[in-house]
Amino acid sequence: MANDVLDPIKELDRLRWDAWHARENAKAKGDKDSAEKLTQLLIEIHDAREDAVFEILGGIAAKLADFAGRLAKIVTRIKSWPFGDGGDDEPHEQQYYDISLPPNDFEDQGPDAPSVDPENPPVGKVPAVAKAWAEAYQNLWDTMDVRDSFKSQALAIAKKIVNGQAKYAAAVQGTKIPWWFIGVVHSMECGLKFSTHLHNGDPLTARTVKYPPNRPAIINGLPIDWVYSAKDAIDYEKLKLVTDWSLSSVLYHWHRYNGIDNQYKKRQIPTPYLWSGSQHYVKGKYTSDHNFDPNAVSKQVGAAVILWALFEIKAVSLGEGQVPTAKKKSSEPVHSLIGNPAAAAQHIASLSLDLSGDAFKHLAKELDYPGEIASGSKNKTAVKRIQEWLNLHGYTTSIDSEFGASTSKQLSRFAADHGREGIESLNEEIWALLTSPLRKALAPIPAPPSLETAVVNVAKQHITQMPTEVGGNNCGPWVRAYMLGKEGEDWKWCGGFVSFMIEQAARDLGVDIDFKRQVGVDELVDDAKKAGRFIRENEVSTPLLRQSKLSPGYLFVVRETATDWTHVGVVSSLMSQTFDTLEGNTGGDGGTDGANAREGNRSYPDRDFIRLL
Amino acid sequence: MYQLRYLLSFSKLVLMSGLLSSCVAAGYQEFQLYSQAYDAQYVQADTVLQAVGSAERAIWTNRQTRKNKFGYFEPNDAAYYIDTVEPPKTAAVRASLLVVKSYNEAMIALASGENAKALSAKISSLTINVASAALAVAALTTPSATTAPLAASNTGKFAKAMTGYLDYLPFVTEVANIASREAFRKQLIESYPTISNMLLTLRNDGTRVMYEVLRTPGDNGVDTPVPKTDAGAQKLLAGWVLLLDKTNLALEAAVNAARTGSQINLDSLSQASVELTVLAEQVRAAKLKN
Repeated sequence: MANDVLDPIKELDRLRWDAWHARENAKAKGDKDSAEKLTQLLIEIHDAREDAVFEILGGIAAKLADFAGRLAKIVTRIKSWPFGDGGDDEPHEQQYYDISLPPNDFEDQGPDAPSVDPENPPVGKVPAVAKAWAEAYQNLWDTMDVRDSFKSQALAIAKKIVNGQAKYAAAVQGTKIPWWFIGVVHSMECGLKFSTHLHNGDPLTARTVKYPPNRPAIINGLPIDWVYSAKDAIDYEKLKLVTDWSLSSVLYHWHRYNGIDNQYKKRQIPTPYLWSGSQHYVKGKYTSDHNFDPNAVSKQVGAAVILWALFEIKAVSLGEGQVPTAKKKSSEPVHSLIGNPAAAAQHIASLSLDLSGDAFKHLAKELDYPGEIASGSKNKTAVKRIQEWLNLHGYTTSIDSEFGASTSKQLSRFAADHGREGIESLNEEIWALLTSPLRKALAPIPAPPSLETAVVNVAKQHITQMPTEVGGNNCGPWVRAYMLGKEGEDWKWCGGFVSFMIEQAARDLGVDIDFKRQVGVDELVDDAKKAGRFIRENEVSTPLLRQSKLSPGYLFVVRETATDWTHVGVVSSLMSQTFDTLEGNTGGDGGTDGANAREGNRSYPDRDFIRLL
Repeated sequence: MYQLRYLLSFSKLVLMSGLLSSCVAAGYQEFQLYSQAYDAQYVQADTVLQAVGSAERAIWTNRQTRKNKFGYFEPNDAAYYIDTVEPPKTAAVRASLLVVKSYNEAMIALASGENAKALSAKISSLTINVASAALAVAALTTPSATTAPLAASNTGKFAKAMTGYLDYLPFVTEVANIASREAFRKQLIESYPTISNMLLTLRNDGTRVMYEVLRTPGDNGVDTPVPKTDAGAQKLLAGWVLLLDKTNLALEAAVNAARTGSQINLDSLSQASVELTVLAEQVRAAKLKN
């Protein structure tokens, strides 16, 4: 049954129609008693209708206010252009560079090696970590203990880096540089402000002033675009040709960004640029580009500690099958560090999804990267999935499993609108962006106090992502997600939707519950009746009983006849005459089989309820 | 009348803009049409909300006999007690519509370069201030400095160099304009789903609920088998729906232009603005008849 905002009112109007005609019949027969009772009933129906109209108007106002709230934030951002929303006033510790260092400082051979002879390095030379430095970095990393007082700050920085992933990805496009590498530099040099140069944190309203000065050499205007400047910084620091992104190489490149053969090396102080926030660094820092104070203490979170935090939130990992620990004793070289493609969605909670349970295993097919898919691909399943998601994102193209010109064009547009220009084939990041709504819906929710609250929160999380059919009635990735991979005309999915919500809620609570997945509404009712969890409409006939016996998180079922139920959804809040709902396979202009999952509101007549436990 | 004024002035703007250079943000002209359409629907919305506000108050008053039969003072219902204050649910709807108005204004400022002008003005005043400050400090700290020696001093040269930068200000302004137009295009694409969903919610759900609000006070639920039709309310809301539809179409056109970066099609914009003028006039005429 479709979920229409006026459903409660329409039902009351139908009741009124029946009652009014019954009263006219009673009058005609001279049955005054019945006529009086029916008049009283009509008054009660009128009062209930008046209440429903009043409450639903409030619901509409609240919905519009929600949109307006989001829009108000956008307005603040627009009005403060180009300086951003100006909200982040956290002080950033200036990073100073010892300007006496030679241009070939990056050729330094190790913590105990003598200083390099100053010279201008060959133009195309790619900086590479020396063996002695690689061993030193590995040893410091393996024995690193992050100080407790720095952990929450490091994690907060790591999350902000993920939230800025799109800009970092744009800056490194066309290179092999990991986006998170630039994110960490951005934290060290700029305090994560996108209003400053990646080179050194100088404001973008002019070229750089501090070292390296007068960058970028060529500009298109003011203020300078952050990505444009970042690309210049990457070029200046000779990062473009680097292909080794192993742990020791990563630490080396961060180290040389701030200078190697400086007072830190001379005084055998593990540079705070890497190690501040860990037990390796105690004190000593540059207080200007010339002056070193052996007693000053850096309060900044060092790059290595931020990397630890990026591992913690699963934004970065080692190569296949390896999980790093900061206390690893092994001296074997580690594999390359790999950024999590899911970070492209800039959503922390969905970086790592627990899909190990039986209820979720089928989702691997929906979410696993199918490989690089390009025009003419024979992988029809993958092409169809790409087309489905393009349509769901509003980039309409035929869903015909053929990667032709239209699919290519829409994929390029989608990528460009997400800051990735010139994309003509699927890559891991684009796949992550396409499937990000489903990933976000599947993200773990914070620990709720009860199963019922968890079910409501999970359902709201899904509905925020606007699950919608695509490619046919009861078809598309959302339907397959809720229906264990099944889709098609016969696969109505309201039951699958609620079952999935309960399964995900139980997963996030870490409990096993005795609730059997059912896709048929009648089967859900049967199970509930057998387990004593079924609540009939007449058991909750008054507002007081409704508030006492029902709870948000319970299921409601729509009763067509005494033995046939046609729709099911989740109760999200209870009022005297109506209740708010979270439903799948609903929406549209009428009839069963709506295309969406969404919020709604229903009245109590012809509804029964199911307790979860 | 207000609707006509908005739309006629827009038609002139479209024609004039066509004579100027085509250095405008993709989607900007279409966005202006959308903004004008939004203002036109807001005029109708205002009339609707006045009526809905009265009806909301009437329903609340009637409910008091059941919900608060002892007549206790409810501070949360304060707005209902004062006739000249808009009731809260209607006020919330109006506030949401006004946020969209402020969004439209902010976007037009961005696309038309007002933010860029403000930036240039800031740079200009900062530059002048720095130069003046330098001279003032020098005047204070250099004993018996006179104008000529001060001008020739290092400080004087510095101040002159600073104000010399102002020669570049037109260039700065122009490139800031280009940057702000691109920011407008990207922002329009990003914020389109929020505004579109809001307008659709208003049109599909909001107007239907408001109709019930409008016809509820006149219905005692007993005399007739169905609530009476309120033809006046239907016309009021119908006019608003038609203008909302035009607004939504105009917004879609603006976003499509922003996405494709297409050049302005003056003919279709002029045609669209004429259609909007005609519709607004029809809605106004319908209101006057009632």
